[in-house]
Amino acid sequence: MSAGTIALRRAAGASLRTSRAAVREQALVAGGQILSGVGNLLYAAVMARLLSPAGFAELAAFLALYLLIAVPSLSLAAGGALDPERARRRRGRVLGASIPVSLGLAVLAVALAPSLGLSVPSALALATTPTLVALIELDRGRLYGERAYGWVTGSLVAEPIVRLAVGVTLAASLGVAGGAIGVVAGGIAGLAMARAGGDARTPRRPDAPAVPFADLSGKRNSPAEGRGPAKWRGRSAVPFGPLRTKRNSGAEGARARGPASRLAALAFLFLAVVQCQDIVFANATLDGVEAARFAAISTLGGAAVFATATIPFVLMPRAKAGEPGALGAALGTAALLGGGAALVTAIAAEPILTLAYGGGRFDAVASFLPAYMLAMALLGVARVLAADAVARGAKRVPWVALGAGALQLALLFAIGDSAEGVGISTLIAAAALTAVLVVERVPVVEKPINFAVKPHLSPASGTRRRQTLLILGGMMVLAIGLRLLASRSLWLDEATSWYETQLPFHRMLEVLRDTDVHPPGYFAVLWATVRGFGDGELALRLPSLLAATALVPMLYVAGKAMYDRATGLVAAGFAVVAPIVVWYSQEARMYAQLMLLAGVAVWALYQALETGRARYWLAYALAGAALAWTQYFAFLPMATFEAAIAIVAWQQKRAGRPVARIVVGGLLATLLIAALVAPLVPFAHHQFAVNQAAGKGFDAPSQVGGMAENQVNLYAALTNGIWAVFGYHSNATMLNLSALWPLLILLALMLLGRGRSRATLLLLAGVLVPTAMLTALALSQPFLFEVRYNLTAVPFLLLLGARAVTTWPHTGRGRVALATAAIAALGVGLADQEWNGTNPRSYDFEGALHEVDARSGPRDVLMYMPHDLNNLVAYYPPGLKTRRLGPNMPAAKVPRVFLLESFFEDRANDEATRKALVKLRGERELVRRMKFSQVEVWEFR
Amino acid sequence: MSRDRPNADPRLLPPDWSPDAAPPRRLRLLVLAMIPLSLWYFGWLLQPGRVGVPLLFGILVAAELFNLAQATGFWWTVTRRDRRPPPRAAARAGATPFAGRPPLVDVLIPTYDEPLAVLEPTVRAALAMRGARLVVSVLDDGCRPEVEAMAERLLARYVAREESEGAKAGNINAALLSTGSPFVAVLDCDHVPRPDFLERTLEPMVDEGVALVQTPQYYANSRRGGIAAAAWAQQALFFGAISRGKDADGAMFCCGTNVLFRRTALESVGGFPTDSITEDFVLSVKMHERGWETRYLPEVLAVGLGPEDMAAYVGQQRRWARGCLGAIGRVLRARLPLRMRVHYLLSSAYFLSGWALLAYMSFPLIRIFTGAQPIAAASADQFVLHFAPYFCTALAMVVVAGRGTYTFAGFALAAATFWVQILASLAALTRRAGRFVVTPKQGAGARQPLAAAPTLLAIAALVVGSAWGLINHRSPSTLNNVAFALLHVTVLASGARWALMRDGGQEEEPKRDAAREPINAPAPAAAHGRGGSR
Repeated sequence: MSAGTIALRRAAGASLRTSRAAVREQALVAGGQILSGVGNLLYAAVMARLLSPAGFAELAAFLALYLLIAVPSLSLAAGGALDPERARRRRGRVLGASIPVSLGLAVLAVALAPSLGLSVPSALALATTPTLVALIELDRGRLYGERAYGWVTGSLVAEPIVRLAVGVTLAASLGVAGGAIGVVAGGIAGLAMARAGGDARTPRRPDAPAVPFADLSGKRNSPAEGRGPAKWRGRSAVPFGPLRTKRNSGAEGARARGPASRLAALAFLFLAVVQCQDIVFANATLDGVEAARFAAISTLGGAAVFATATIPFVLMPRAKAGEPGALGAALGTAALLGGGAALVTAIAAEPILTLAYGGGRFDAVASFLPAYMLAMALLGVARVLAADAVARGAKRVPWVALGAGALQLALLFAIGDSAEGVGISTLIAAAALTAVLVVERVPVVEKPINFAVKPHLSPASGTRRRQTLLILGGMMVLAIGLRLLASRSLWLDEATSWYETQLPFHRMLEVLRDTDVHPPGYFAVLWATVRGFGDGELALRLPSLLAATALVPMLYVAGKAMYDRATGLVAAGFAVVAPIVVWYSQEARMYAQLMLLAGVAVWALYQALETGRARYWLAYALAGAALAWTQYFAFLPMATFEAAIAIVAWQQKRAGRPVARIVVGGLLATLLIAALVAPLVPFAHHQFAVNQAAGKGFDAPSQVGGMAENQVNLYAALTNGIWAVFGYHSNATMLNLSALWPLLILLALMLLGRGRSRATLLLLAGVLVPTAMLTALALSQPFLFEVRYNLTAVPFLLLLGARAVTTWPHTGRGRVALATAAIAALGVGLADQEWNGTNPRSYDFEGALHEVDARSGPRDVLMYMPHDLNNLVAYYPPGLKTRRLGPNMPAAKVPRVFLLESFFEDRANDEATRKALVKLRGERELVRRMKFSQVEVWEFR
Repeated sequence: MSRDRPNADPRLLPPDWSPDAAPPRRLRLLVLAMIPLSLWYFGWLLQPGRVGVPLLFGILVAAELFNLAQATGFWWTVTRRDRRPPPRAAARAGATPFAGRPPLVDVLIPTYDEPLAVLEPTVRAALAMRGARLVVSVLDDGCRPEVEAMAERLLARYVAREESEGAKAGNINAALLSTGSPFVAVLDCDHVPRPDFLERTLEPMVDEGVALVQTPQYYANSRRGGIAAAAWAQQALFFGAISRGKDADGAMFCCGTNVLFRRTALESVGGFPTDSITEDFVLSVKMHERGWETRYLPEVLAVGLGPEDMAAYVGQQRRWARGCLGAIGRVLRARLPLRMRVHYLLSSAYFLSGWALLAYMSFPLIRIFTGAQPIAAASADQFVLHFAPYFCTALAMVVVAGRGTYTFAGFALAAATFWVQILASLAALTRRAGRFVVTPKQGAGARQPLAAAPTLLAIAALVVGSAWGLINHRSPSTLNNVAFALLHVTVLASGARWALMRDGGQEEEPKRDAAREPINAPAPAAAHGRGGSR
């Protein structure tokens, strides 16, 4: 066995032992935290029985304010965990800053108390909080940094015990004030325990063990293992283990840790903002009922996040020391606690709400509770990642957290008009925050690593990476904003999606199999979404919204991998404003996922072909299978990609280059795709057979808008091409745009002399081959000549466009100008598509049905045509009787009759409507004719 | 090493192009596709019902047929296959060349006013050539003492005439009288030969019937981009697929430089003709008439410089167009096999393309201003359906035959000089004598709007017409014609933009591969020049 192997094995053993020790530490402190939470709950429960309702309400307000002050104070713990020495030194300064705040609060207590819902004694008790919690968290932070986890746990547990003992005792005699004093006493007890722990006076090595509870990890103090700093400060036996920097040791390190601990404090302050600002916003802006609904789920979510609160701080010292396994232990604990909470609420939301708030009061938020718990779980994970990043010296974490807070705030203003909207804002912000931190953590390996040299990240590459992250973050915020702004009424197919996902899962599958023409992948996702978020428009479109937003970073990743960073950024910029992407981000159908998965598939395949690495083949296979489960027409690009693998293998072989990796990888990936798609085959076959037997077959579906309808010709092809790039527009605009076809000659000429890379050929094949195959199919089934079925080409087109933009101009200025012009052109297309009001694919059923609702009484009748609108009418219930338009008109006793028509291009619909109108005109007086986008309503009385 | 010399002479770097043959199977497949697609388009176009305004329709059909003839000639040329044994094999099969002794070769380097920095590397490299006993002569029509001094210093022969009659042709003819080697190599003063230039070009001369061996003219300054790169894109197509095809039919003609002659062949036709400004072209016709064979050696054996500004390019194109168009009559009268005559005619008639382009540019303007159009009773849908496959496959043919070297910039530059071809053909028609103008060897370093004035006027007309159309009728049909106008504007502007740049769009630093070493290494002092070719 070589020395290197021995060293690696030793390192692996050390890593394992470190992981176990880290898990034990996490379990201990999290256990203390949970005990603390249980003690607090117990305290509240006892007080609820001990105090009058009004008294308990006052105490609840006191506790809420206490919590509001305490959560931001956790930032002090973060700073202390990273630099305990500094925490020790800064005690005086913290006192100096917090005592005036407390005194100020005390002075204002009399004036503020009524507005806060507190009595003066309670307000005075609250005034002590800033000083108290600041000191507690500062000392707890120090204990984390000194790894005195026993003391931390003791401090955490002592607080509720004393709170309970003192509070209950005093409350019996002093009422609410006694309870408040109990809370303060608990805090003092926690502080005393924290203060006593470790060595609060003598400065010492931050990594030295603290007594008496320090030695919790068995062998970890052995110099050969675990946290022994001397070991890890030396040369590492693990190639990529402890990436120590100079700042971690010595006087220079002490100087450098100052800013690091400040950054940690700042990061956790902003994370606290993300955690808290939704409840503040909800209380400030929502009406009483909605605010209460949100408060109900927020309280439970707060409990979940409370359980994970200590995890980042336990992680920090080990992360700072670069110990392998610590992050995994922390993430595992956070995921276990947060995910467990989300899972439990998903399984038993209503019983939990009943247990917490009594029967029936908040049952309406039961369907939404798991989603909010998931947001809190993500926040817990994000806090761990943030702690790890800060401890490793990353400087941008506070700004990432700030960005998430800004995104959350923007979302709150955009969609936070209900409890669900507020919760979704937090979920999106937490997801975005976690995603960015994950991206930050995952190492990007672009070239085979030379094990002989130390991994090195140049400052320039770090700066560029930061810039890229910031740009992408900004783009994603803009993308979400644009997509939310572009919201519109549901249309026919979306209402079908809604109807299907209202069914039990097995029933939904049956309905899909017997009546639909699409595979069940997307509907399964939507079914789960509806269970988590309800069936509001936003919730229904959430999967599409997220997929279309994720396309932005996805295209960056693909563009960077296939070409370069500039191409990736421009492609991402295109994805932000590309009208068709925005359109399908606001449609509760599978098309946004289709685009995202196509982007993933082409990226993974390209990487697999270039590097031969198994992970890319796996990603390609998973994306390909997911594509097939999302839309049947995905077989067109997948067939193209499979052919591309064969061609590349053949070319490699002909060129005498090694081909085994491509052949084996490609074969295994294909087999995996086949295995994953195999269960779908009987489903698809049944769908096809049933539809054929029903005489519907894959007959022309209700097609919408534009000139390409049901015909295969060159203008239709042009129209589809324009749709794919510039989105949907009025027929007049489409005619004008189609007339610009000579510019395609220019494009063809400009392609002369362009280099052709594997990436370009792969993308071109992904656009052209499926288009040609679809065209061939459309010759017998003209309805297939429709851009929706070829949307996998869109990400490829955007990447190719970005490549053209970044390479055709010869100067940097030219490239910027062209990219700006292209994005502006897409922006104009987007504006015309979304807000010009002439888009033939925009159906304002919501507006029409709300108008009918406003103008009708319960005895009135609404008839609608075509009959497929039944799901829409059920989704936007107009508050009157509804029925499909038939030969018989409503009886004369019906006061008002409304007739709603849409899909005017269907002659049968139109004819039936005309006949009905003639009849109604003969029997009744036409009161009003109302026109909405692609919808018309006649009102008779 | 060249990395350390930012302004190093690009001619001293090895070329980044080789005139390899295009994949023959792909070419033949494309030609096979082109036949039905051409019939598909022209069968549709030439139906009586398509005639809109008869005059315009006639012009359109003439332009389209001219393009079809050129395209057919191109397809035919690039798919010709050389069935002769390669020169080396022929050399091996025959007797020991030149009786085992290196032959005597006169290397003639005509010059007029080119800077020493351009000339000296050429003379040095010529003196370093292997495989022959050399006499390098610098033919200085400028009678410059510094050139004489340089020649003396380098041990080259200096030849100066008192009168510069017959321009380059006269200069070479005069030198021929004062030299006597059996072979004569002609190098433009900016074309730096490789050491094996003579070794390689002498191989085909084993065949006593071969009059000349032509090699490609590679523009080293194409690496700097700009107008030189665009001009090179045109050259690359010619010295790649086209020259190979011509050579397969024995129809390669002399291109004036990088060429080795057999003296007897030159003398048999009375030397270079001085009554043409494309003396090389007419010389080749004469040689072929006398039964001499010509060879094309598809290897870059000398590296030169292309035009670096618009005036230089326009001057070069004007001379070529005037000379080639003027030679059409000569070709038609020549006693040549049909196949060879067709090759010459195709090369000459290329310079009529400007008329076709003028017609295409005029149609949208005429439609916008008068409503008249060449085609009637046809929707754009039908037109595109018939035209697009033909057009796209024709472009694909250029891409494949040129192996991707023909660029949009090359196309745009050719289009932007459409007026040069029109003026040249008018001059040829009126038999106005052309004048040999030496192409400037260095960029002027100034904007040259006058060199592209007619192009800029055409752009202005198209822009004004489009604006007028958009203001007055914003119908789809007007938009369609505006789009055509914009297409032309973009192409013309892309080609003419270099006239509006001080440096002809060239970058300071040549794009080069640092790993490559200079092909030969004259003294560093000589490696700093820039200039133009011919």
